[in-house]
Amino acid sequence: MFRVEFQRVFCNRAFWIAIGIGAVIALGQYIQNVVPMVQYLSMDLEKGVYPHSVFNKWMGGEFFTVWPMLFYFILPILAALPHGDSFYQDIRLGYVKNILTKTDRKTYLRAKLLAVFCSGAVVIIAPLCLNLLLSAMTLPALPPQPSTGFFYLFDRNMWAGLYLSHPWIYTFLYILLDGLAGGLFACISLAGTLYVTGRFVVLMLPFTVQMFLYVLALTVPPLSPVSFLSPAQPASAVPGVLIGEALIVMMIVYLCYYRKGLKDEFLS
Amino acid sequence: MKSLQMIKFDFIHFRLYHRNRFLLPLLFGAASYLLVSVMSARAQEASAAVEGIWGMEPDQVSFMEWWYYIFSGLEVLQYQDRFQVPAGWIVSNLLFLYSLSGYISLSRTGMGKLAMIKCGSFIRWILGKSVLNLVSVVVYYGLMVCPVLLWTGLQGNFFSSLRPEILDSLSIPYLREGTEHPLFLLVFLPILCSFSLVFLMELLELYFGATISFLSMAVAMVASAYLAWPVSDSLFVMLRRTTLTVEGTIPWIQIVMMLSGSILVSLILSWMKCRTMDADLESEKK
Repeated sequence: MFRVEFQRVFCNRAFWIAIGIGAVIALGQYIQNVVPMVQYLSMDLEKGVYPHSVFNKWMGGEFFTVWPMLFYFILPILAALPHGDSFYQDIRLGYVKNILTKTDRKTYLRAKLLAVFCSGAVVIIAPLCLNLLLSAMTLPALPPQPSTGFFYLFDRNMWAGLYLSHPWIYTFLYILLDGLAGGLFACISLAGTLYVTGRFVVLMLPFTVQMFLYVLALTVPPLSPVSFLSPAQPASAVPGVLIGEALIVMMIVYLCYYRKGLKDEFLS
Repeated sequence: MKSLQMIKFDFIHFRLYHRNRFLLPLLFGAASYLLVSVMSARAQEASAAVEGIWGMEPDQVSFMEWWYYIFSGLEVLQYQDRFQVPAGWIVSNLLFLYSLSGYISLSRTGMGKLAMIKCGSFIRWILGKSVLNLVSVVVYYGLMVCPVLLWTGLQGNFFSSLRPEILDSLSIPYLREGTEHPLFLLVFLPILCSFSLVFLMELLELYFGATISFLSMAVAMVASAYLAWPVSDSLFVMLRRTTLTVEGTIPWIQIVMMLSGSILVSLILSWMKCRTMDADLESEKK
């Protein structure tokens, strides 16, 4: 069952469209913000100025060009696009009835959940890794020096100590965090499947949640994933908020997808 | 099927499938007013504390001030300014697009397809959708302002002018001295802008489907907020406050012409696409 679901994810046109959109954003940021910095490297050394580093120029290290904003703003759509609507489609097209004659509900629901979560995570992690790799090939990985004023993390930011002492670990942890967020966003689609009508509405559910949080962030900035998912942390991330939001999503997915799915008459 | 019947069908069909989405503007209106009020009160209290005034009652945000804040857009970005799209502006527009998104696709299947065949003219079919868009924009913004009008009406500051202390507390600039037709600039233009965006989205929906067209619009809106600096000031999707209302360097007539032109072009392209889109409809008709 797991193999079948994963095959459906990776042989899906929507998965590659989502990866393609992410890659375009990653390449756009690289071309606009990383490539032009190469010409300043030698100049910086001559003038004794701290040169540009991969850690403040890659997509997760800045918030001054349109690309990071674009990526983190449409992240829920990208995450849900590959497989978020598959449960809805399975029910609508009657595919689920064929599956449930061959396997039990629990296995099907678990396999679906895992596949959707992984598809959301992969679609988010891949463009970030692509951008980071390209940036690392172009710019030196100089450790962040707060006194230069080129690095934008301060004491109040989450994992600031780790960023200054082990920037690579910080970066990889943050990419992983973004992947987890992508996976959770994709799972919101699953949670809503049994309650809403229309494939489009199912796919847009995570984005609706994102917009709701974006408005709430007018007064409480750390609430918005657009801010706290970027490693540059334009609004300082608060671990409690991150964990709280993740737990709420997991609980909703468990109740509205898994428990409801085990009992729902649509699936019998 | 006559035009009026087509319009009537569209209303019933649309209401049947999309009515729940119109709860969102109500929620957004109420939530955004509450948040804007909290922001303003906090800033007023902080500035009073700086001046050594304690225990002051902050001024309530009026309807016009809330509206001005939501659609105020973005200041011109300077080098190394953090770029963040204004939440009120993008969410209000995207929720409107979301309310209508998917209807064109729905109109090409099931009952919609039957109505399309019976209609017998793509011009009538598009006309039905255009009238629906017009009514939707009025209903959407009506629902959005409803809770705010109600609340500010009860408070007694229904349409008070833009007060400097509130604008300061929300960090939005004052209107240009001697601005002509401020109501037109502040109220009508943002609505016209949303109206033109929906036509563009429906055109894209004809080609790429609901999800990709909505995604494209979201991307275009974020990009337009950024691209207005420094490439051109005449990208009006953003209705930038500095150039339009504060500096007054863009004539409003130019904006109206551009938005109307965009609606017209979208309609023509939609009609051209409709003529070639579904050849089997003709055989079904016979």
